[in-house]
Amino acid sequence: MAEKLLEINNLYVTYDSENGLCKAVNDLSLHINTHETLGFVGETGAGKTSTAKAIMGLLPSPNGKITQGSITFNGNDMININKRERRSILGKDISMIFQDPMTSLNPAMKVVDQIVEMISLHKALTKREAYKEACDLLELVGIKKERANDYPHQFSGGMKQRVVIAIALACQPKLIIADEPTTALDVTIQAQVMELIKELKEKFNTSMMLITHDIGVVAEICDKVAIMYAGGIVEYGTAEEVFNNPSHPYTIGLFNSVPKLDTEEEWLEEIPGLPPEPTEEIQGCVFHPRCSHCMDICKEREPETVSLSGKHTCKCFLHASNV
Amino acid sequence: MAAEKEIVINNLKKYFKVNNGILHAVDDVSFYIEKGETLGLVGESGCGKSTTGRTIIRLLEADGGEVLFNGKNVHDFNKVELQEFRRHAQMVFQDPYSSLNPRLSISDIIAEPLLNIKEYRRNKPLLDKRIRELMDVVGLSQRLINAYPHELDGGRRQRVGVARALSVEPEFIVLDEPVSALDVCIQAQIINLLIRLQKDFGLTYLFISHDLSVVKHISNRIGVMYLGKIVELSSYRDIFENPLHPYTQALLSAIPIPKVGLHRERIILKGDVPSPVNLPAGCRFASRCPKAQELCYSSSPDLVEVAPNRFVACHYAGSVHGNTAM
Repeated sequence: MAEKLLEINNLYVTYDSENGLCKAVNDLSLHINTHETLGFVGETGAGKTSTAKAIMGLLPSPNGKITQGSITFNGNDMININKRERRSILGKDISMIFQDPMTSLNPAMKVVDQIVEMISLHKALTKREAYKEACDLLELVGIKKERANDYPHQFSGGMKQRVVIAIALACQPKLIIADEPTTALDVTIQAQVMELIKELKEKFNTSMMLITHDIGVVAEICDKVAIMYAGGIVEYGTAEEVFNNPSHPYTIGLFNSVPKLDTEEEWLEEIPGLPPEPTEEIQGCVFHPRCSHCMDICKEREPETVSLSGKHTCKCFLHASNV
Repeated sequence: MAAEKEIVINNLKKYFKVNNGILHAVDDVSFYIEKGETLGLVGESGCGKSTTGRTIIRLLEADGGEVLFNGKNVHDFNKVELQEFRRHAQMVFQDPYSSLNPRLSISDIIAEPLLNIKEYRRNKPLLDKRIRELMDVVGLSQRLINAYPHELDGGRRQRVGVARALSVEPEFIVLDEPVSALDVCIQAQIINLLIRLQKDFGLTYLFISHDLSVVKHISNRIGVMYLGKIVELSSYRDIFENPLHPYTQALLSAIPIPKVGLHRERIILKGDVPSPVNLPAGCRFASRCPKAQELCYSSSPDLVEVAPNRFVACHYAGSVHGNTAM
């Protein structure tokens, strides 16, 4: 069962910008097995979306570049793949759910046509068959058939996100990349959409990469978690391992800075300072200027990724045995 | 001993005329805020929480009801009185990207409210001293005094917004989603700052947010709004430990909790919040309420005190007892 669907090794992504070279992703490695959900957590600018775009081959050209590393999806090399093959994979085997349902739908097109568009691109069906399948998909995500001919502006935010999910599911993809799928939604609507995603993932046996900054959402539906900071993964493991035994100082700080519902504390723990600018060169560990456990070695050398237990890894000298 | 009331809101109403009818943004809302306390106002988008905040501080004119500040109705103030009122009540806005004038420097932004005060207007060194003092208070480095908003990140911009609100030494501040646009780590820094300032200056807050865990952390009492009405109002402990209104229960159970292996009953509400235009008779929550009875569709429940300082607007608040979310 544990078959690697997506594998990323030592990925580097850079952008050329006016202020110099911007290193968005640095030495990132991860894999997603079939039928697995990976939570990808980090603050704004941590490189989450850049990684997703690198997988999809959607980095803005010519500024965004993959300078090193490999991305393998289902046996295909996603970096050196030719355009035609990529197009046959995107939408069919990998699909994406974007953050903002208000802007990811075409406002001048009936919702059903937007689903039909996706279906007819990848499946050899007649117009009528595709239309029927699109209606079935709408029913599946909880939208009545009668509303198929409505336009996006006639739907609320939650309903729009359901349409986006229907489009993403149209070809029963092997992997869904969901970039902050519920961030723009209210909490009760978020609960509905998360429930729907969970249910459909079971039904279609899909793997998912869930990009989010909400660690509550991650705890709820992810099998594995990767914590990103300044372009790299600082901690990686199963959700249980990371949530029950957070090990990197950044992970601990991140978890503690969220107000808890079941305990009372007067002050929230703060991580002092700000994440570094992506153009900034930091010697040693990228987190050391903000770290409360900073040692001399942290300022000099970059820590190795060490294995804590099983699949739980952490990139910090505190857990290295030979320092 | 009952604490002194800083601000009392009685039957406040704010309607907007829209194309297809009247939008009941705030409909007969009453509550009070005690001196030095934080009242949290939560609800989903469109429930009227921001409009309530803005109407209280008279950025919007009310369509009914009164806002009593030191016993006087804010909505009866003339121009001079209103200007005086602004020295006592200030506001911090949600989006630090759009609430700061991009063409003013940080010192100009913080100085703006102060320029309404004669002694600062005539005395440049005093004004300058006060600006620097305020920057220290909110934790902004003084080298940023001549910077412009676009040079700052979200957290620092929000600190500028807080400094601007504090400049006239107000007693009461309306905080409208002050941390929603910020990352969690920065959010923690700003929340801690707000709590520290409240302790140092004895401030009274109306804290508006859609994020229940943030509201719980900062508030003494919490009001839950749904479609222009307050459906439940109690101390934060009561709301979180034993919510009485079915909407509060659903709202609490919808929050994702960052813990693995937690099994809890989740109340998933059906459908969306109905449009606040041309509302149906009866309870506004009835169409989504898992416990709605016939009575709920015909008559609208009032906000009643079911226990000391516990207010609920539900016909069956007694019978929905004890179904906690946690």
